[in-house]
Amino acid sequence: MNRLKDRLGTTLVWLSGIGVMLLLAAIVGMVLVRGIPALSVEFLTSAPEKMGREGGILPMIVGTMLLALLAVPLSGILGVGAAIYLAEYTVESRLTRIVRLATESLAGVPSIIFGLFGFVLFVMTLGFGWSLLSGALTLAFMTLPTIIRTAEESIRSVPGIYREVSYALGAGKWQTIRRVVLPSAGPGILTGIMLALGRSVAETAAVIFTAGSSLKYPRTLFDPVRTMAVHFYILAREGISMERAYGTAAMLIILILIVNSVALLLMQRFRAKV
Amino acid sequence: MHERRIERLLTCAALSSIAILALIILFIFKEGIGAVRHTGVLNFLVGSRWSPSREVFGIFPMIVGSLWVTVGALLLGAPLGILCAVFLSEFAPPKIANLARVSVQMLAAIPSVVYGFIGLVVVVPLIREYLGGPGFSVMASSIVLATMILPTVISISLDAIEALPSSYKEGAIALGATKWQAVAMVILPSARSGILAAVILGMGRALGETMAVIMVAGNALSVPTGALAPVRTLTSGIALEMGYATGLHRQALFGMGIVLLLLILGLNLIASSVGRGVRR
Amino acid sequence: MAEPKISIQNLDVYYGSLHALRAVNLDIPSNCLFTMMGPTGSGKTTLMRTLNRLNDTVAGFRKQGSVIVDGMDVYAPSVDVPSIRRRIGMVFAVTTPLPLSIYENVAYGPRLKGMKHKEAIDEVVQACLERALLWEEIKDRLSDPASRLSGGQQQRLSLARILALEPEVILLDEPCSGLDPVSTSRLEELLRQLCRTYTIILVTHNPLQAARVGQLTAFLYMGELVEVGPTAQIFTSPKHQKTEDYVLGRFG
Repeated sequence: MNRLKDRLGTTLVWLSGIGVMLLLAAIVGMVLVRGIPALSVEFLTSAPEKMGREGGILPMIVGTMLLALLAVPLSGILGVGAAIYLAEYTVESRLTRIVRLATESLAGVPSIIFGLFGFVLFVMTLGFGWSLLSGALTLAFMTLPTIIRTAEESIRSVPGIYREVSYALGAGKWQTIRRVVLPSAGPGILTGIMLALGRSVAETAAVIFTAGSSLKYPRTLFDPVRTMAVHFYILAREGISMERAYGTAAMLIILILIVNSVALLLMQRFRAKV
Repeated sequence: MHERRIERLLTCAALSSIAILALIILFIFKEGIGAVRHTGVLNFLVGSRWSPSREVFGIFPMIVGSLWVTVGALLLGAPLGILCAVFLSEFAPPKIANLARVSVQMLAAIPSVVYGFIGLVVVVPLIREYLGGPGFSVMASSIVLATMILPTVISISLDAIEALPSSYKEGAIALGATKWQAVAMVILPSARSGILAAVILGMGRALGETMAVIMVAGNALSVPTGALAPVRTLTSGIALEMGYATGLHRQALFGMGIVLLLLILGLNLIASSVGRGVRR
Repeated sequence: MAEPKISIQNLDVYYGSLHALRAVNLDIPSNCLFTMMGPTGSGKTTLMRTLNRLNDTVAGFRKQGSVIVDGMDVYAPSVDVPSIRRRIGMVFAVTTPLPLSIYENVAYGPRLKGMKHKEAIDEVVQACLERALLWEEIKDRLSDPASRLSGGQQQRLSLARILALEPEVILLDEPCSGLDPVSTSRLEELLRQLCRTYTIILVTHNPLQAARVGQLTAFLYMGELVEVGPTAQIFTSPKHQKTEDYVLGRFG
């Protein structure tokens, strides 16, 4: 009887493991198989026409890149700064516990709430309107917890002796951080930044209410923009063009796979060093 | 001196988390409280009619919808996720384990709209074909959400299991237990608070998901009558009408946001107190 | 007699409630190879770290008494701590190069002081590596990561690093622990040469090393300075029983 339970348990476990991998393969496979045929040069280098029924997705590619490239440095600087403070300048205290709780809570806030928040604060109250700026700021706030978490872990794993040697050579605290700790924690911090980048590219709910859904190229920071994820959502839901929907999704997935693969490689290099 | 200024800047950066969270809570409440007060808190939460044109805002069907869909997602996704975590830590040979870990991380990166879309073109027709109903249903939503919370459940459960001292497992095996017995009788019970935290966080994720649910849930305005009935969740409710809502209607949507935010923040607090001491 | 380079007067050190050093009085002359020996936990490292104010970074550190270098109190409120640490350089027991290239390790100190011109830095790096007897071995691979060097080479690199700061005093905390005998004797020979220019203080838990290398030797036990004097005298006719027991290997 026990052996039967054992067999059953082991089979279930193996099925789960393989099942999860197959799930990923199925999802990615389906999107790529149907989407890659649509990825012609024309598709990738021209603007949409007839509300997306024809034409390409270049403004969306541009919009996605611009949004991510604005949002990520912002949350990167803020997040790494916070991580440095938590790892180097304080001991565990009430304040640090509250900061950590806030960070973890922020990590759990759903993207629709960020969308609502960004709408109220940036689009309406501060008057930025639906724009790159509103979208980037919202995304920056959303990805902040990810960066704080990975950056703090990387910084903490830099061996203490490096700091001691630096102090003994006459360096101050910030000089030590800048010249020894941060370079050493580099790969780990970059991993967090790449993960944040991946999330910014994939995000829809937070973006659609803050960056808008205009089909035109953004010319200034205050222009609205439509990202690939939003475009895909609109095409699919309104049934405008299945072919182009798949194409957009394929492009999106390829981009995300690249970004996350780089993040994974960096993470492995970081783990190997430690 | 120079060092002091830097320290002050860094302190501001660290406090930004608190500041942003506070701002979010502040603004969502500020925008939503008008409609909630207009309807009355109790009526808002328990009223089952949602009719913006008549300024009637009862969100009960959507609360129930969110809960049903989430429970379904947990029933499907939690066991699968926990078993997969066990697979990764105990059963998988190193090369397969690596591949599986990467797969989990990639699953987490796929945009929610893609999940929703695949639900739309695969799951919904299947349900309509073989199980009946319109296809757009609680079941479709739960299936899609279950897939989406897998990475969360898997990685946090995995953390919990890997944080256990190896002596636990070795002790069991030394007493003649098989791998599965060691897992079922020693590892899972010992890691249960971490696994519980994983499930709670997965619950939060399912509750908060919007784009995927919109595409497969069906958008019905009444309390769902069964697993095959169409449903509207808090999240899809907000997202669907936000595009054109004004005035009190918009405020009511923010009111739904308040409920959602409170639910999820509450779940997060429970999860961190349950899972305390799990993180390495 | 000339002014001592370092004068330690009535020094007590506490880490929280732990009384690590008790009423230490010690004068160290210039250009001397001064060794401090004693079993683990006797306070040798604590004493050294108190000299270059590295203990400031340890939580719970408290001191009474004074540390006078060249007639100036090292702990005076107006003192610039980084400059103390440049005047009194330190080599650690764990041979740890900074996670940088060999060149950058040596250039670290000068860059901190504001040196910018590449030629100037190149000169300093080469001069220091030569003095540390390391130049010939690594002159072709200056941009290699310093972690690739052997233990003995890394210790000489640590010395070169400090020499680049033009210190007056060099502290070495058990620099040969973990080194093979050949590397050890090379390092010891190097120290003998360097003490003509610098004041060198060497901490060791191996009395035989103290006997080989030091001109003056101090013996610490359980936070107290038991005895200090010319090495030959300490080892052949020690004044205290404890010293004699330690030197003869009866404990330690």
